[in-house]
Order: sequence, then C-alpha cells, then structure tokens
Amino acid sequence: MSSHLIETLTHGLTPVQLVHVRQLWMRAGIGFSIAAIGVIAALGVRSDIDIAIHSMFFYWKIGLFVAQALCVMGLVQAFAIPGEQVRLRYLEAWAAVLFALVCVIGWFAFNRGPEDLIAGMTMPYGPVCFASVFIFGLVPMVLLCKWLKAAAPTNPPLAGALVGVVSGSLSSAAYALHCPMDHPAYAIWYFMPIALLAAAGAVIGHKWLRW
Amino acid sequence: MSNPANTKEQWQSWMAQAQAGDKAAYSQLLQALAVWLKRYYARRVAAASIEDLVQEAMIAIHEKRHTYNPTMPLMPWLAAIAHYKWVDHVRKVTKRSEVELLDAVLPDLAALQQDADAARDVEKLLAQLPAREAKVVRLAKLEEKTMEEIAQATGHSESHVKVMIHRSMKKLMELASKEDAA
Repeated sequence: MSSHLIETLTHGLTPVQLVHVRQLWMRAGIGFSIAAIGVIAALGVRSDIDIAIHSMFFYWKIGLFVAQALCVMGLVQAFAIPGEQVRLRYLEAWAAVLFALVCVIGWFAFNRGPEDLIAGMTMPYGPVCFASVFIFGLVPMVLLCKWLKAAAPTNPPLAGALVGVVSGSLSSAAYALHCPMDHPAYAIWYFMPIALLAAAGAVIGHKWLRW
Repeated sequence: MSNPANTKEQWQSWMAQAQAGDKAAYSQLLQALAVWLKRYYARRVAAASIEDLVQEAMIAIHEKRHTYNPTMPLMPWLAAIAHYKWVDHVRKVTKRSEVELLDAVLPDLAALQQDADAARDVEKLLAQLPAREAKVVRLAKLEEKTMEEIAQATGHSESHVKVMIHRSMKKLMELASKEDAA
C-alpha cells in the first residue's frame, strides 16, 4: 500500500518554492501600510496632529499596538511552521506590553480618580473607533491568513486567533493616526475589535486552515 | 548497524534534495519515513488504523514539504506533522464513536413508532427539541430519508444536517435518560 503511495507522490515531483517566515513579516508590513493609507485616505489624519506630535501619548498609543503586533508575530511564526519552538520571550514581551498598559491606566486612576477613567472609556466616537479598527484590520488579516494557509499551522485555531490579534493591533496603530482620543482607558475601544478579530481568526483557523 | 544521527542527517539531505525535485532522494526518504511513521503510530493507535494514518501523514509531509527549512533539523518538523495527524485522527475517531454510540444506545425510533405507547413517548421527546431539529430527526429517523433528501427538504447543507442530527440525538438521549430517572 505504502509503496504505491510513494510511487504516486514521487511521480512528477517538481522543485518547491520554500515558505519563509520573512514573507509573514513582509505581509504584516504591507497590511499595516495599506491600513494606514486607508485610514489617512478615508478618514484623514487627526485634526490636532500639530499639537499631538508633541505629546508622548500620541507615540505611546501607536507604540503600544505596534509592540503588541511584533510580540504576537513572534508567536504566529512559531505556530505556523511544524517543529518551530515557541519562544517564551515573545510571550513575556507581550505580557510586559499589557502590563505597561495596566500600569498607565492604574497611574491615571490613582492620580485623577475613577471618574476620569470612566470618562475616558465613555468618550464619544467609541463605536466608530471600534468599527474602523475592525474594518481596517481585515486587510492584514486576509494577507496573513493567506500566508498561514500556505504554511502548516499545527494548531490552526490558535494560529488564526493570533493572526487576528496581530491584524487588530496593526489596524489600531494605523487608526491611531486619525483618532484624537489619547486617554489610556479609551484603549478598550481598540481592544474590543482586536478580540473580535481574534475570535474570527480562531473560526477561520478551525474551518479553513486545517490541512 | 547504522548510526541514528547519520540516518537523520541523511534524511535531512534527502529532504533538501526532494525540495529541489530529486525523485530518487524523495523515494528513499519516503520509504524510510513509512517505517518510522509505522513505528511512531504503533505506540499510539489501534493496529487497524496504523496504515491509514501512515498514509495520511505521508500525504501531509508531501503537501507541506515546502515548509521545511533545510538549514534546520528535520526530526522536529517531521514529529510535529506526525503528531498533528495523530491528534486529527483521534478527534475524528472520537467523533465517529460518539455517533456510533448514540446509534447503538438510542433505540430505533422508527421501530418504536410502531407501538402506540412508545410512539407517544417519541413524540413527547421530539416536542422538547427546537422545531427545526425535531423536523430533521423525524425525516432521518422516522421517515428514513437520505441526507440529500433532508438537505433539500430543510434547505440546509448535508454536512449541517449531519451535525444537527448528531446534536439532536444527543439531546434526545439526555432527555430520555432524564425521563427514565424521573
């Protein structure tokens, strides 16, 4: 039985184009660029950009999501190729990014009181930000899922969910160019679409990325 | 006796050559892998499933050979694929045995329908299911329609119908055991 299969598999064997992890990083870069161009073209840069560029919160917001995307990308590459080791440093770095966010929110709560936090979370345009992050996140999501399909994820739902987190984070970083809300508690409106993209990624992983 | 370390280096070299389109190297590699996979699965699955699983794993290795990085050791890559296929197999077998178990444990609904008292019990149980699930069970188990016919009648895909029947039968079994206990 096996010998017949070996004959079939060997017959007509052609050289293959290797899948490289750098293609994943390139696609993430392209996804981010398209999302950023889309945000600027469709919504424009935030109106107070002249003032915002002098505030550390402008860079903090973009940096937070870029850092999260980079950390999770390290995990995606480990789950996309059989036999790759999950490097704990990526997980630790991701935890550090989230811890930094919690610390900043905590600092705000301590210095300005819980009312300020609630006000930060309930600023107007939350649903608009939610929808925008989700929609612009679909661009990197498609690019990264197509790469994952060509790769061989040994845990497709998890790989899909992680791709969702990367896509949402890249989209959030791009959308931060437009969004004038800098309060750290407002990050909830960014993390909700990221969670939604992660859930969608898990479903895609389960249904489409199995091999 | 061959040195296992040399063997693995040899496999790695064969794989790199296979990626470049070398049929002879690939054939040698697959023959060696068939033996290795048989041994790998012999410790994990029933004897009757080994051959199927070996073939599935070999097809997966063939389809995903472009994901192997020839500068890295081959064994972790191979072991990860073999493990993935084993997990997939276990999942499928568990699902299948659940369906078989349900079929075996639940009495034949069509036969029960012949008896007036039993027919009332069946209807009582079906009434506790959501209407669309009850309809699918009626068509499949009482009217003994094919999956295709049920799919046409309900407007669902065949695979969706199968899932619905599986879930509904499970619910019916739970309901029946509750009623027995009461």
